[in-house]
Amino acid sequence: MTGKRYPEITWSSMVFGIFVGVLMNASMTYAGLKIGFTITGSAIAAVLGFGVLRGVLRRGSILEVNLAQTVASTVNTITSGIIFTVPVLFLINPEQPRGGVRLWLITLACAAGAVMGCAFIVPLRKQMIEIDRLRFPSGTAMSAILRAPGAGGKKSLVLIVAAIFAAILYYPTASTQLKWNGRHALGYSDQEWRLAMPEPAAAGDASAEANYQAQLHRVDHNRDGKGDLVLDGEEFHLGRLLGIPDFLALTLAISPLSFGAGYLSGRPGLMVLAGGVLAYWVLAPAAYLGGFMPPTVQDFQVTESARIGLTRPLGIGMLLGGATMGIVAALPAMRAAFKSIASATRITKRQDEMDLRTILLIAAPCAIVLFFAAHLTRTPGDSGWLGGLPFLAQNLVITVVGVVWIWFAGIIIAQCTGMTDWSPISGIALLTVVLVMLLGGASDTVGAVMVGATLCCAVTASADMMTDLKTGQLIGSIPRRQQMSQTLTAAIGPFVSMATLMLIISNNLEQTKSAEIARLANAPAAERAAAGEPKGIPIGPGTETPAPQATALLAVINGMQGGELPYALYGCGAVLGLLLGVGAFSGLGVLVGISMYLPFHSILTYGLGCVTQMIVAKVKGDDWAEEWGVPTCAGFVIGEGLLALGIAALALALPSLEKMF
Amino acid sequence: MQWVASLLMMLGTSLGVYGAASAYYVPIDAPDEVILNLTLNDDAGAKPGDNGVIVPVAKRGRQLDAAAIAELRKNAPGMPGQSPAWKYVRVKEFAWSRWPGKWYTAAGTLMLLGGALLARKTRGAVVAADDGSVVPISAMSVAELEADIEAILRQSQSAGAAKAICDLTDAIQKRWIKPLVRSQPAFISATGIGRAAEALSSLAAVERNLNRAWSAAADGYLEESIEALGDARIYCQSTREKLLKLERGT
Repeated sequence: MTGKRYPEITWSSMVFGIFVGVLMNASMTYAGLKIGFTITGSAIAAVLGFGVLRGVLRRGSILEVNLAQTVASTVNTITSGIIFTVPVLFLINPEQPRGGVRLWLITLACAAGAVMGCAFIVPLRKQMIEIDRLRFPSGTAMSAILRAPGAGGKKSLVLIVAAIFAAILYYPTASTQLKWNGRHALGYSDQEWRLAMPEPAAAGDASAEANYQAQLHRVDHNRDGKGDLVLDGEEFHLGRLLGIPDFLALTLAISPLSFGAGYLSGRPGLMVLAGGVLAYWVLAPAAYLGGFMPPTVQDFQVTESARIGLTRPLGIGMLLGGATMGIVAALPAMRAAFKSIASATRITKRQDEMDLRTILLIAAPCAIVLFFAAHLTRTPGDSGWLGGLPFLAQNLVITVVGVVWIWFAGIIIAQCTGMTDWSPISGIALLTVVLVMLLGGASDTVGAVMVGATLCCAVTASADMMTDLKTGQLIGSIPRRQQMSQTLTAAIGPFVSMATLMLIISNNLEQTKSAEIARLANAPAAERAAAGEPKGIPIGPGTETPAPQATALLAVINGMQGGELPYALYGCGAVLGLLLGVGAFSGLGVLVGISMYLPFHSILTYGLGCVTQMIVAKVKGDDWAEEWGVPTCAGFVIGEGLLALGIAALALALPSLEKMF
Repeated sequence: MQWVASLLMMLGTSLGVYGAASAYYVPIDAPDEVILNLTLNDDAGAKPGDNGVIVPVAKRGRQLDAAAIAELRKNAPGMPGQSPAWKYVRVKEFAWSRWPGKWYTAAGTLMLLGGALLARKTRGAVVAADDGSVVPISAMSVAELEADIEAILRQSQSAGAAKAICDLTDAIQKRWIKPLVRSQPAFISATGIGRAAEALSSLAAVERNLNRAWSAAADGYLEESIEALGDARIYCQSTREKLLKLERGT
């Protein structure tokens, strides 16, 4: 194709990216409200891009498909910003008007936040990708997917086989979301792989009876008369099988994606495993055996109890401290990166990076939107740290703090994603809500949720942008083109998510209202009179979409209002995270922090991936481990990702199909 | 010394985290004036409820008055699966004087600080002693990389050039880029990140342009591929100049 321009940003890549992004956004909004987590869609968009752009439309270069996946993931990834936060307003006030001005102002602020998140992270590309060389496992996997057709048949085959294997392995963990006529599809739990029950003791033998009770407790925690499940949902309870005490959790997540991310992180990711071991094999058992946990917490509940009450707050603190140290350590590199962007000197005839003036031109209007949204959604009050200031000045301070916090949190999340592929967005949202409530008063829930949602959208956009720029580095995209396309399309996602959320809420209200009417029809007259006119439940417990993350955020808001937040744990974590970063590796605090924040079963599977990479590299050499390991793990990432999206979309469609047939 | 540093950091973190975890706990047998009127932030105590189910003696949110404290002290644990040595209650209020693990945290923090400073001091030596699969970042090695890129450019006009570019850029990745990247920590350690940043960023641009040349060649866009190789060569020259400046100390 001599003489033809190499296609990178094209109409087809942009339109395709937006189209796929909108579809994925709607599916993920539903899935996130139902199961509590979302997946980034880069890998899925890349595969669809190949299929549609190259397969159907007979066009699409490697870089064009990359642009399409960049845009699609931008539109999709912002979902979590909305669904982790906005449902809180409906949980607090079920009669919150749907589609009111306030909600659309929040959406506008989220859109501004997403654009700002993209713009703010641009100057850090050089520091994170070129100088610190963060791994960004998903970004690395994506480059393997995009390069696969040109890299030879064998690697493509490896990738496809790995993807099929991952999908088969993962299917039973997610299949139970698919329901038809009240019955769900079979999953791992339905295999009924259980621990064997002990033989009952002979009557009258007290010591045999005590022994029997002890054994019974070990194999039947919930006292349902059956041995505990070894394969339960997405968890493989290896510890139960080996007879290890339950307060020492040895449970693996059945997640090829986590394993693949661990492999792609390699040796540095091992620090996450070390942090997990400290949190769940040292701290949690020590707290249990040391008498800190209430006696109502049983041994099999130790890990989760410790996570909620101890390791998670410490982990959030460590993330903050570790990230602060990471920023301090990287300041010289950041200064050099800013200098090079500001001088805008071109070594070649192409401009590689978005310039500082453009960044400021994009960010300034977004900050103004944030200010107006804060001013119009917040309730005037005189409590909180800013209580003495006029309302206008309060909102100005909240906007400035919000903008600075977006920049800082964007770096934290991008660093976490770069090192591990995990982003502790819910933890950062929690801190943001706390910060705004401290500034504006504990009763200012709407303002806090608005800034929290904006920040979530901003930091997810930052992390996604950096992941895509890593892919771009590995396949040779021009960063400026990716930065521009992502910044231009970042505002779409919040509107799609919010519209989907409103649709789900309408549906929930209708369904729960009908159910209540049906229930009251058979109820005594007195009960009917007491219940009044059924209003339905918009979201949360009692509906098809329990919104677990928003429910957790509501608990934090209630805790904040009741003075229950463990500030001392955040503070101790921050000091330890800061000191960890003083050592040889400034990102250590972030790695240990994230491991204390996440559930241990995910960390173990991730750690298994890291160890596997080290063994493969030792046995077969670094190059072999990279050459064949990366396409294999890219297959794992895409297999699980594609299947999760497919199941989410199907779960969304099945209730309507059920009504039709 | 590196292992001493790692050990200190590991022990310091463990001790610090263990002590910190107790920040909101008060021993149930603490003097009444210490525990009285505090508010529970978790369930406390256990007693058998209906149907043999274990239930808390006092629920989260309850204020610890004299009656609640007496009841909690009376109910000792001892049921299967329960904490074997329940001794503390979790409260909402924090006070330095009540914090049982404060000295653990203080000691852990000091150990961690010592370990971190030691690790920082020995970092350069450890990185420099890395295995032999690295090529040191220097003006000379970048000049050799540049020569290899020029060699590809010379071959790019021949038949089957696209395939050749893919193969040769792959070979450059293995021979130069990956080994140079592996030596990056040692380079940063020796030069300082502020001074190293510009050269490293320029080297990364070489890598990105080589990757672009590969992608364009794999897609069959030969002109773009050659242009990207040309850009990679220009970035090589720029990197070499920056490294020469660093090597001369200017």
